[in-house]
Amino acid sequence: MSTDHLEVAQPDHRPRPRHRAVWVLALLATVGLLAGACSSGSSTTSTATTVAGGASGSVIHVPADHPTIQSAVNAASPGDLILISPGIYHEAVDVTTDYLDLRGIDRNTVILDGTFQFENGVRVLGAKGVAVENMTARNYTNNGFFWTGVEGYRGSYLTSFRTGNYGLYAFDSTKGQFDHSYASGSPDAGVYIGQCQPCDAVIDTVTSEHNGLGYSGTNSGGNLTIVNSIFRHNRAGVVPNSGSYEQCYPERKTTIVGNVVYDNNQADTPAIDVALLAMGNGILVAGGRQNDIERNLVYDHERTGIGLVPFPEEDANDKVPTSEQMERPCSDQKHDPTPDPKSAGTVIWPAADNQVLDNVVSGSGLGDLAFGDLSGEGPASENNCFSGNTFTTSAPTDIETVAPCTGTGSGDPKAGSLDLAALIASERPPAGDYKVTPEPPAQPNMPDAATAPARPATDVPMAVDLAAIAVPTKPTDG
Amino acid sequence: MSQRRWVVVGVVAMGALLLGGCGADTTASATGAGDVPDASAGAQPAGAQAGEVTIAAVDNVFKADTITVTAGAKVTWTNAGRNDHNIKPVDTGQFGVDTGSFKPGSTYTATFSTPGTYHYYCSIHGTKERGMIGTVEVVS
Repeated sequence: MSTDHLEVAQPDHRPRPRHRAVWVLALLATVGLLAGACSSGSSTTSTATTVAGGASGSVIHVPADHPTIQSAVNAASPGDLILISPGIYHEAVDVTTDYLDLRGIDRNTVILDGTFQFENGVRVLGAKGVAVENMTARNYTNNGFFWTGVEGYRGSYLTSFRTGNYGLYAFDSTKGQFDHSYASGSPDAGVYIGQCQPCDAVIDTVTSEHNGLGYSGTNSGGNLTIVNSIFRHNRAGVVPNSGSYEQCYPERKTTIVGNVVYDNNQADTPAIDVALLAMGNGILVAGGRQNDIERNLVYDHERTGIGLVPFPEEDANDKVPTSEQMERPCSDQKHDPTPDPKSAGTVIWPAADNQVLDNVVSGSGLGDLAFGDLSGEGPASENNCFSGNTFTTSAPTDIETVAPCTGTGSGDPKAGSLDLAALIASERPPAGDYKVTPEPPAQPNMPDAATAPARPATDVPMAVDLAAIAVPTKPTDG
Repeated sequence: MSQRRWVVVGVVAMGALLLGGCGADTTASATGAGDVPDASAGAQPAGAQAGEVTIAAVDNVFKADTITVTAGAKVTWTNAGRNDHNIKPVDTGQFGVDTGSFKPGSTYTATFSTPGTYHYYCSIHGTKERGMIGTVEVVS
């Protein structure tokens, strides 16, 4: 799409003949995408989805073979590896060719810079199996790395900072993976997966900090697993949520295991309204359902460590669907008739049927564990449950007695409950400017980036042995 | 991105606002959208809408993405999402609204006077051919 110019590069002058692997395309087209029949669960193993066999095509060097990343993408065929030399590339790259692998030779010196003029660093539109690896995107008015409407995607060893909306962003996309990546300086979320059900996606070994939300997932879930990652110094840490401003509502069936979530009270980050609203919470399920939150280490939050709360949406486009309606896959729901915009008034998305197990939570101002409601009649558990957690405070006070995951609850759910309405109405520090987010330190490189063969996103999501994940230890700098 | 406010039902009953920041609706009007005749225009199909027609720009799709209207219809897009969006005509100069004038909660109206096929897209979330795209089919 919009390509500007290459500012600095270290060109490799060796010409490289391109051998078109036409058979690759044929193979990919023939094999197609195989659905991963996985179910999320606290003790299950996510299985990888094989999209196509590990074929590889030509290697296209930037800027040696093509001066810009976009021109290389335009010249590429499925299975090709686009290998990018260090330099600052003032581009907004659009990818519409299936099964490409865009890779930087060095994550910290291959930099896409939008100069706050371009909208997206790399945007993949409807192209299957595109991987983007080992590079940095900064200074974009919207998103760093963005997949939309795809089946099969992977973002690995990516750094994104100072972006006006999201850092790593997968929308209406399935069978994907974000791993070994870093995101900061987004008013919405550093990492976002939205509008997919089932998503069949994994977030593993990601660090997200100095954002409005560390992770946000609106109307996503279904074999969506967030593991082994760090969410810190955001307004709020991990926030699955529901709303009618995207399709396929509500959010449900996200699995959050083995993450370190701490100090998400950061008052100087950029922030959208929802991030302001969610500030001071570690893991906050805002109107989501059937999520599993297990074995996370969560500490030092001004409000709740792990909170399950209803989400009020004003001027909603539609009402909360019935249980039967929400069980339909996103592929069906997307074809529903169009409701009148903003015709539904204020809609409350309940947080229901979530389970919080075996987490270690401490240092929370209002409750290490909490659930709340907006009925004005005192909290009802909405079939949310809490068991086996290590914690000191909760709201209501005896949360694991009131809402256990096994057996029947007892006790008073009103005792020590959250005053959610007052919390929502309270003041927050105003949003900061995403354009001044500090530059992150150098991040680890992908091994063998210059020599590893092309690896399109045909083997995603990666397998995750959830049962093998223990509560993480506290990081040395945390 | 979002300039909306959030209200809790229970609090609404008490008249308490939760969060400020809801921008006033911005309604832009564009007329003469049908200046470029289109050879594909034909007989009016069943279901063509007349008068005023609405399209929701949610995140990140136009709903409905394809509509058929009679000439003279006013089409109003509402940014009913929480992301920024814009409306760019594939054939430039016919109609459209920039991101800055189409923030969440805003509306944009164009009058389609001349039969034809009018393709458009949101440049943030689509290209002329892919992603967040739409079509207004105008019939006599």
